[in-house]
Amino acid sequence: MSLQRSLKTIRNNQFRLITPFTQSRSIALVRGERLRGAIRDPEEYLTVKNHRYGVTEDNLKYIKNYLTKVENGKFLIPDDLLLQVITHKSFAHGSKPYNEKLSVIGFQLLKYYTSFYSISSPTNSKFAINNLNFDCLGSLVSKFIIHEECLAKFIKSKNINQIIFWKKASPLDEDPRTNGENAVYSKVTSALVGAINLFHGTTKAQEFIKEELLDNQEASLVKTAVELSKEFLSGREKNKIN
Amino acid sequence: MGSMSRVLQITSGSRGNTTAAAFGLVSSFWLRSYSTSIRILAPQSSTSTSTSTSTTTKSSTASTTNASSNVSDIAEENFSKIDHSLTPELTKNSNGFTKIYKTPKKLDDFGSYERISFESKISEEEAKLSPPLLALHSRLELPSSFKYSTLARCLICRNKKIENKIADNFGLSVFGKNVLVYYITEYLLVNYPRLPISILNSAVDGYIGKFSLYDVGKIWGIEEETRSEVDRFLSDEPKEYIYGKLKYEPSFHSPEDGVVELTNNKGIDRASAYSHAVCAIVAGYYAHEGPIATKNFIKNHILSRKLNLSELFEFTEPILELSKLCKRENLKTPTSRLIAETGRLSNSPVFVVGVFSGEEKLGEGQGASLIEAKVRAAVQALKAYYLYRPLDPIVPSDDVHGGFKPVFADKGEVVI
Amino acid sequence: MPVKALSKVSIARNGIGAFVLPCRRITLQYCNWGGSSQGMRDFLTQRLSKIAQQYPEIEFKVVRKSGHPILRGDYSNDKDKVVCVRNFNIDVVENKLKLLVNSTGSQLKKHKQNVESLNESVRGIWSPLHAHAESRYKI
Repeated sequence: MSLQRSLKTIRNNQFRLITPFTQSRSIALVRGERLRGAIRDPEEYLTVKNHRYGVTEDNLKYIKNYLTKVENGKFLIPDDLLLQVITHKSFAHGSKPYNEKLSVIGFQLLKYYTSFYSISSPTNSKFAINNLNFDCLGSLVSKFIIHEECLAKFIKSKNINQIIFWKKASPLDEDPRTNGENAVYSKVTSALVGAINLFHGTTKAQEFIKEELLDNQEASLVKTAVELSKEFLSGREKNKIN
Repeated sequence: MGSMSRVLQITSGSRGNTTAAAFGLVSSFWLRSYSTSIRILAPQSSTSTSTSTSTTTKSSTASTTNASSNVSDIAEENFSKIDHSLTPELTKNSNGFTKIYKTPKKLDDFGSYERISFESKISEEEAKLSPPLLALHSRLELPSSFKYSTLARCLICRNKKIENKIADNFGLSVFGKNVLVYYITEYLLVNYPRLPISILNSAVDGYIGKFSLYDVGKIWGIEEETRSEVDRFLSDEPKEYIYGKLKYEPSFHSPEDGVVELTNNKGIDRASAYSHAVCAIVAGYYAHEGPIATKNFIKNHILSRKLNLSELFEFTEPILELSKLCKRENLKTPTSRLIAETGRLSNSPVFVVGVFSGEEKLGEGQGASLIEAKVRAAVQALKAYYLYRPLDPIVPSDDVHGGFKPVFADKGEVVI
Repeated sequence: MPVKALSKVSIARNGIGAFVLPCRRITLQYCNWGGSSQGMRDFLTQRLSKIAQQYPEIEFKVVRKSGHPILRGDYSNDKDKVVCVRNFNIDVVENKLKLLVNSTGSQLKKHKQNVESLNESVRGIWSPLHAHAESRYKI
């Protein structure tokens, strides 16, 4: 970007000057359009939908409301961890604690526990081992249980998606499957499981998965997985005809 | 010789005497007991005529490595249109599509799922007759609750070309992998909470990736069955013998040295077959003994292996990354200072550079040039941060023993 | 991404955690007629069943074949060890069999270091550049 253009952009953009005590020169913080070499105003990138990032009651109200309602707050976790759960790596260029690692451990636990849940349902199969029907694993539904869309749907149904700190890759893309919305929401679900796992231990985390994600009627992962499989299979039929 | 080659079943009680008595008489007999596994083979060069008993041993074995039969490729094009990475339920045969699962009407009735091709399974009695299987069971010190039939099933890999008629290890290995991945991730995440995700994934792969589990399977002494069905038939081996060996459809055959014949794309390679078997054995352990014992089994057999995590890192911008890290953690900007040097004007100088944040030394590195030493110092500082280890960490799944404290949750790695 | 990961395969440390006996099969080959197999035949009739019970983790395979008797151990590293036991008496055969049981199957080699370890030295490596500046040798 040429110097003239830079200056023009600065003129067109909002910016504010701050003079920190520790430094001898003033720093110009730029708002609005991205400008190479200029420091962006944290007030701008730390705000999503008029919610300023930080451990505040306002930011955490949705997720906290939900966790308080479930079994008298049995699964409640500290506020800073809650904030980390609803912060995605894309927010503020990863400068704030984000949920990636929580979601990794949460997702592995989900995968392990949901597969245990499906094999341990009552069976008469003669190929079952110790009453565990391993033959259901690898089927469409058992794969869809931990699919991005199922996990994202859970977050939406609990209204937690009202405040999630993340940044869309492309602001014009409205399809949740491609613009990252589903991916981010599903990470929040698994991060919530991961945070409960790290804070309360696996026994409680498994209770949470069983009661809230699997047995729960309205947004059960199993139910969504069944819908998704049906949709997928009908799509396959169409493909077959074509 | 004709009358001599017959199969005797000798019970463990009278084994000693009968062995001696039978020794001079028969050329081929079996000794069977719950703990011992002795096999006496017929002379290899002998022209033993097949009697009634030896034909039973040669009768059609429960083969899983089916010889390729007439599978036509009619639906090839049709099939390739569909993203079948998501559709394990579909496989191709001459009719176009087949489902491999018997799906119940209620899709979430997991107990009623069945694999269509399965007709039989290895029974406990049959499995107990296989010396290699008994030996494997004993070598792994599996508990008596771990059934021999389960172990035998763990060694049969799924054949995508022609689905197995006998129950295979597919579901078991899927579950075993999930269990393994969870426990290993948990161990790494709690012991090294600051590991970057890429390193964490690579470390999990280092413990339970294909090649690592192949090595585990090898150390367990699992043997693979590579002979063709005809060779097996001619070897005059009792059919139970194969239960103790790993069976899979290889993705290529090597008819002679240096010649590789790619047979189909539905086979799997040796390492995958071994890793499926190991995962399946873990799942079998889980099924018979429950999660706590399985975790112990994983700890003893897989987590006890050595993986040097500091060798997994490859930094592209260590100096920049370190300064970003210091900024994020509100530390003073890192500066590099020369600590010692020798032979600056020679052809082999050595510089020792330390990277400091204010008064604190974050790392130190030496190199043959100032830049090299500086980079090494930054790498050491970053590794010291990322490889932080809390004292006596307790993994979340240990909460059953009580005394569980919340585990340190890390912010995440530095983003440049 | 700034940090890239290299892939590595973990190294087995048999005996840390679980110990799995490397010997997986022992083949005992004997001749029903030859005099050199006398000790082996005695061993098979008198002691094999007891030994087999003692080592349930090993599969014992008895093969009748003309020629001198041999013992062959198959190991988990895909190598084997063969011992010819012709004219050996029953005790020597048993000792040779135990030798096979206790072997790892790897080739015998002379260890040049007193200590070989996968772990880093706890003490660290001495560095001349970290000696006190006054006593440091300067080039």
